Amino acid sequence: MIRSLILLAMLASVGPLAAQAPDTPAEADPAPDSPAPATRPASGELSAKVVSVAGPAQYLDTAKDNAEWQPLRQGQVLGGQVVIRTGFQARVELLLADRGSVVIEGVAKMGLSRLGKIGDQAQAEIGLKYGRIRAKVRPEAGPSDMEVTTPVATLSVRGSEADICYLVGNRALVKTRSGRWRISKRLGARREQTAGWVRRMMLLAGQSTDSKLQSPERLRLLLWDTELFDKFGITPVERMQMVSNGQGRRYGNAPPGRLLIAPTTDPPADPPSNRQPAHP
Amino acid sequence: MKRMHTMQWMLAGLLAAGLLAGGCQSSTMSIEGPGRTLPDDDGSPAFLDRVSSEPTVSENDAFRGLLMLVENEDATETFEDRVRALVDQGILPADWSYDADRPITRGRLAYMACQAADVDGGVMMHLVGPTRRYCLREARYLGLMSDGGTYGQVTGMEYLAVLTRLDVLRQTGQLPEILSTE
Repeated sequence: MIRSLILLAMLASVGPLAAQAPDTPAEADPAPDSPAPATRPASGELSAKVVSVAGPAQYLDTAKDNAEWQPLRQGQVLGGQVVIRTGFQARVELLLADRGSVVIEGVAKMGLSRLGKIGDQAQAEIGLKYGRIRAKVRPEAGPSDMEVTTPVATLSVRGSEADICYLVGNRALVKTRSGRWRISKRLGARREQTAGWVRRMMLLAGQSTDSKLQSPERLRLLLWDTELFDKFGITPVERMQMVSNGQGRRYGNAPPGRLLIAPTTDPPADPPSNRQPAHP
Repeated sequence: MKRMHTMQWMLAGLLAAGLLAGGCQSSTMSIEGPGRTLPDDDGSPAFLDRVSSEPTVSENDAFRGLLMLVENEDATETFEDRVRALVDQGILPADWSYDADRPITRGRLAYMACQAADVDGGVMMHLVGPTRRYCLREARYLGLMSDGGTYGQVTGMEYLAVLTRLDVLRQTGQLPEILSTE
């Protein structure tokens, strides 16, 4: 009895395998000349779709020889190697293979050097020559890795949103809106000790940094108006001195003045009360 | 003591005479290279792309950029046409000297930016009117331009940054944090 039960159980376990065998001949009997089946699909090129275009915007398909600048139109599907430039009062929104999106604001030039897929992960490499973009990755659509390279630093993300801006004389380089961003900056060879080094930092939602990758707290102090109680104004060196040594306090320990810019979603906190003023 | 008093009066008189002479002096507009043309840029994206690589920005290019910003296009042909168009709009004064090939200075760019953005300015701008010096201070205060001297030259990327901020300021009336200057 026990032997018959064991035999029945073995037959029951083998039965489904035998039933599946005719439906999957390639898996059961691969051709001798075919390569070994990969665990992941081969990397493939993806496309970017132009969701909306407002104002003057042009694109250049760098994958083609002798390509010329063409006006960008809504609904257009672009390959993985294009350069886009915008003019005044322009705004372009790109959908990157339904995993992320990029909004290009006016007066910007951006290149899409690679848009592909490795396994399930979509990868996008963006180069920003000048201007302002808003990059967003949708983690719910699947794994994706977006990398934005500016002339001063490289930003990479796996599921967040941020404003990235590269302009000469600009204070902030990136301001994150959600998620985490990794930022790396290759140090120059000006100092022999740091030649070839890479400075890295991580930004959380709502934080920002500049081209020198200064800490968000330090950058926040710089955004405050320290000229309010000095009618002749102060130099950038003096401003940095106050931020470094005075924790953003004003002359005479005066209350904080107004902001130089539009208020942000997270207003700067008051300086700690247990610290001494920089200029008593 | 009496001699000191007399000298003070003399100095005050000289100062007043100088101010009167300067105030009444009517300088006329002069234009160098009035027939200078520019490459046929295909709209503002092409123009901005070209200017971004320039080490300095000529007055001819700078005026084209301002015209594209204000009027969405540059319908003029020559440098003189651009100057006249901007003078008519009140962005440029009629008593300056202009040179098509001369690099634009930070003071002149600040003056044009303040006029294009309808900046009222502070006390000094109300007292003495818009000048390059006080427009540059106002532009720095507003976050339109970064630090630098009035007579300093402007690189292509700096010019681009000013136009970007000016474009946003004209549209929204304020500058977002991501665009603020150092």
